[in-house]
Formats: sequence, structure tokens, C-alpha cells
Amino acid sequence: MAKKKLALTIGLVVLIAAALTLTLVFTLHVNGTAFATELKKGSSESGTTTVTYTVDDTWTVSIPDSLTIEGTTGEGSDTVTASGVKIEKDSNLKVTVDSENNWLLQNEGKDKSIGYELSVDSGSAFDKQTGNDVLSVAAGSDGGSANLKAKIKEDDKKYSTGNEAYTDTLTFNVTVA
Amino acid sequence: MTVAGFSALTIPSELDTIAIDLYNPIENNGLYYLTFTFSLIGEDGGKEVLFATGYVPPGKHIYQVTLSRGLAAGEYKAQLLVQPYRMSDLSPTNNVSAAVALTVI
Repeated sequence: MAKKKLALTIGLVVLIAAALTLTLVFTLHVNGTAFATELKKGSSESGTTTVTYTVDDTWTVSIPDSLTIEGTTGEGSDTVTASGVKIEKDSNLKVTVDSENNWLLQNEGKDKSIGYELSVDSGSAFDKQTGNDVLSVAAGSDGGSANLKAKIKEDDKKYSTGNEAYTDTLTFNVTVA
Repeated sequence: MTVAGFSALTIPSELDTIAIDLYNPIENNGLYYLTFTFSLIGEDGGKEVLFATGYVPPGKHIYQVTLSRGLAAGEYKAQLLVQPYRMSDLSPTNNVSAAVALTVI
């Protein structure tokens, strides 16, 4: 009888040990899943990421601070240049010019004026009909330049300015389209 | 006289202080100060000034400006007016006006 009891006890101990072992193995298996993302030798994984590149359009233009018309010839010229042009592919940087006084040189009191014409190289004088394009630079080219020419209108060449300076202010408009 | 500008600008929404790079090229050294005025252009052609700087000396940059108000996300038409002034007598010269596509995100 005592032997049977011993056998039962031993059997129960073995059973408990086996249960513990199974539990331990199970626990190890659960912990093992924590390393599921770790790459093992010979395996591979892939994923995606987004690459972003943003550069705003930039450019540099050089313009005459003032355009002087010589008293003897009634003419003057200067250069407009665009450089370092970085704009979207297939677009163009365009420079046009506007006159503050509608193509009139005015004295300081703005009560006297003399008409003048502005053009690019030997082109037509700027006006509402012909437009006022000075320069156009295509994307991908580094830049460009244009020669601005100013001259007093023929009808106004017979007038002097007295001892005053007659002026106009030009605005160079830059657009990218 | 040299002016450096841009035709597109992206800024964050609802912030009134933004990062930017406005500068007076060193080529203007000894000759011209530049001022910068940035305005929204309304559908009716009206302008709303978002910021205007003082005289920027040649070779100097402005890296941060405060807008008159933050903007909601969207696309806006804007203008950057660069006005040079002769350093000798602070008289204004011819100027540059750039059309700017403003994106607020």
C-alpha cells in the first residue's frame, strides 16, 4: 500500500513538473513573439517611405536704378538682366515694365511733362497695344538680358526742361507662368 | 541694381510669425538699401499688406517676419514689392514687383 502511495506521489510530482515545463515553454514562446520583427539571416523585409523635396521659385534681376536720357541726343539706354533663375519645369520667368506717369517725364511739381518712349532693343515702343515685355527666360536656362532704350517723343524734342530734372519711375514686374 | 526675389512661397497656417529669407544682394554694397512689402491681392485687385520691412543694408538678410494676421490654409495671390533707396540721399529708385503664389498649409 505504501508503495502505491509512493508511486502516486511520484506520479503527481512528475505531472506537476510536466505542467510547469509546459507553462514555461508557453511563456517562452509568447516572449519569443516580441522579437518577430527582428530579421533573421536569409530573410528580407520591405517597406515604403515618402521623400519630399520642396524648393520655392527664386531668381535675381538687375535693373537700372534710373534711366538717363541725354539732353543732346534725347536718348538713353540701359540693361535689364535675369540670373540664377530657378523655376518650375516648362514655366517661364517674364519681366515687363510699367511707368508711374504713363510714359511722361515730369518735373518735381508735376505740373510740366515731356513724353518719352521706352522699348527693348530696336523694337516698338511700349504701349497698351504692343505690350511692355522686356525679357522672358525659360526654366532650365540660367538667365537672360535685354537692352532698354528710351527716347524723347519727336513732338516734345523741341522743349527744354529749364533748370529742372524731369523724371518718371519704372516698375519692373516679374511673373512666373 | 540687383534684386533677389521669389515667385512662390509656402507658409504654415494660423501663425503670424514665419520663416523667410529676404536679402539685399552684396552687389548693391555702398549703393542701395532695399525695403520689402508683401501684400495679399484680393479678387478685386485690392491689396492687404501682410508685412513691410525697414531698410535692409547690402549683404544683410531678414530670416523672420511677423504678419499682420495668420492665414487659413489655402492658395493666395500675393505681391512682393522691392523698393530700393539710394544710400546717398535715401531717394527711391525704380523698383521691382513680383507676383507670388502663396500657399498656406
